[in-house]
Amino acid sequence: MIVTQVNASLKGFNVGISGAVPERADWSEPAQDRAILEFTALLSGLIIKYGGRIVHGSHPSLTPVIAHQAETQAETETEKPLTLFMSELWSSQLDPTERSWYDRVSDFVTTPKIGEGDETDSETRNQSLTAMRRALIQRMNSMVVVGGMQHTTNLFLPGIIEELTLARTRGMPCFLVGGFGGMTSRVVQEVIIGAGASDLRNGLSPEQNEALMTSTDIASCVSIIFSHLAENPSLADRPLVNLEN
Amino acid sequence: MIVILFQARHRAQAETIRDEVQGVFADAIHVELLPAEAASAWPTDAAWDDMLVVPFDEQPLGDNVNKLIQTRLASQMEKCPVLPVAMSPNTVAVPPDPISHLKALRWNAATNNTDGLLPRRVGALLGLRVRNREQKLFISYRSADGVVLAEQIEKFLGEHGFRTWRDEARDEYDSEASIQAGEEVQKAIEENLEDADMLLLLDTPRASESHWINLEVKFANGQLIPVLPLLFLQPGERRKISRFRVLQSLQRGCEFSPNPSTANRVLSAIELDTMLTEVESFLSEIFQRKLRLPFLVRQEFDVQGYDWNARDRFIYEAIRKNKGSLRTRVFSHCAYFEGIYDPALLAYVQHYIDANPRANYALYIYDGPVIPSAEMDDIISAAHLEDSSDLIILNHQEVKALLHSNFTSKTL
Repeated sequence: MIVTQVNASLKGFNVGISGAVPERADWSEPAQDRAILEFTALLSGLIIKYGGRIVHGSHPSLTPVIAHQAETQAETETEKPLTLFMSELWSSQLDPTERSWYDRVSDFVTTPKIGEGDETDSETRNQSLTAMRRALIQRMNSMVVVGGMQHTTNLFLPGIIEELTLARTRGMPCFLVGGFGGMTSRVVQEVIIGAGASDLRNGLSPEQNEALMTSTDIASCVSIIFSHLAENPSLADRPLVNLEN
Repeated sequence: MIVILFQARHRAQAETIRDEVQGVFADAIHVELLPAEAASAWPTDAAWDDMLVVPFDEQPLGDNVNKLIQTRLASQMEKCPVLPVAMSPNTVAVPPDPISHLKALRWNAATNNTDGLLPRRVGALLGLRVRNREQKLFISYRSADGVVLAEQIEKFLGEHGFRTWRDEARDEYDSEASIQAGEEVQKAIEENLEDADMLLLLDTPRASESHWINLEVKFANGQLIPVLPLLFLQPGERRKISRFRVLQSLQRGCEFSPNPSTANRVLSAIELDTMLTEVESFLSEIFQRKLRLPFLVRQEFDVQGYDWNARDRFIYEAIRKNKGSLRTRVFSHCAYFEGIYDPALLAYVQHYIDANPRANYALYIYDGPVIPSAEMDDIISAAHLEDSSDLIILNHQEVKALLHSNFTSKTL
């Protein structure tokens, strides 16, 4: 008989993927974009294949990849193992085709726009995204952070900083994948130098966290996270701080 | 195998070309030098990485060389591309017959190599091959302002050894009725992209208005089909990378200088060469990432205390000494191809049946996205492997969990 699966279950996990392809000037390898996309596809594919859910803030660079995995790996046609959040700052601009696509591939949740400007106005953008991120993080019970824009040339807030701060406020396990550049690699430097990985509350050993934060190997990073979640199902049931209070 | 078919006067350059290729791809790609006087047949059985490199100058190639080239051309170009290299490009840049229709790479006498052009071309062509599809570059465009550009790019890429497909946007799907029937449009796009290994998007002013192209870009990205926008700006237009938000965020693209007449624009040689550099670099970078697979799998075995060695070019053997005199022997095939490459799977099964001594476990490890269970059942059924025993087919992401459990965590 041919074997095609390992005996693992990620049922109960709502895994957030926070990040994006970083600015090209910051790429530490020629195909950094592919590394992050492949990592995202593999991780989300495995999580969904083994019964977990993905929660994501609709970043344009990662959303098509995650959505495709949700459509192909879902066990039933009606099951939607993906929740996408988007601020009305952008969702109001979606044409019917695009809106239809989001509704079809995910549980699509929109949050209010805050402010009078458009998406180029930093104040409106930052406030609207903050509101979206609070709702987004509330839906997760674990988070993986990879890449991420640094926004050094504008006044936009780096998204993973805000999302990571909220996730740590909730007390959820966070996994920093620092070997693919972007804002995550900067955060990793602060974690290593500062409080240390215990602050991430993910249950990985110091060696595993260091491997995850420094490795440039997709397989290794996905394996660390997938294996750890599969071997520690209680992480999905950890009581978390409610951001809505 | 890459075969460099050389005349005696080009021996030194042939060795340099070999070193250039192996400098980039190391042991993953085997390169063989074949002197023209000894060229009677392809030196080995057909393999997935077959490619023929032919240095040439003003002198004729010779009967042996011509015969071998013609044999290769006849046996499907996409399975064994022919790459001519002009050794004196300033005097003779066009290859002789029977390969005069191909654009030659250029030898640089000043640097005494091909300046990396040949390894990049090799990486691009092999990168297309391991995607396990039709090795086609789709040229996606809007008929309103992209036809003339598409024709030029199609011709240029064909001359450089690439298979292309002109993928004109289906404007009929821009109707209100079609927009509402989203699944139908998506299905049409899925079928359309089945053979696409790369999407070259002609990002013209009218392209971003197309619902078909918008969905196609999104779908291609979702499937990890590389998408490269070719941005054609109009005078006064200030934009970077692409008009498509998803492609802006991915930050790859080729920008062409502003021109008022996109619909009738004639591309210069420099513009086409720049585009080719971007295309080949993108594909070659992706391919080079894939070559790390055996190394990555080996690391997982090393951690679990196995001794890992190459049994032959096809199978790795990992042995771990257990308590007493017991050993665990695992055979692994690490496939560069995305998904399951049927010839490799069947060959591996046969290897395993013929092997002596047998292994405790036989792994076929594939790369790329995790294959859904239903699709996996279809693959096994199509290969008539339902009754094969002991074979474990896994994505390499799943190997660590299997090894960590000492092979107890497998399920049906």
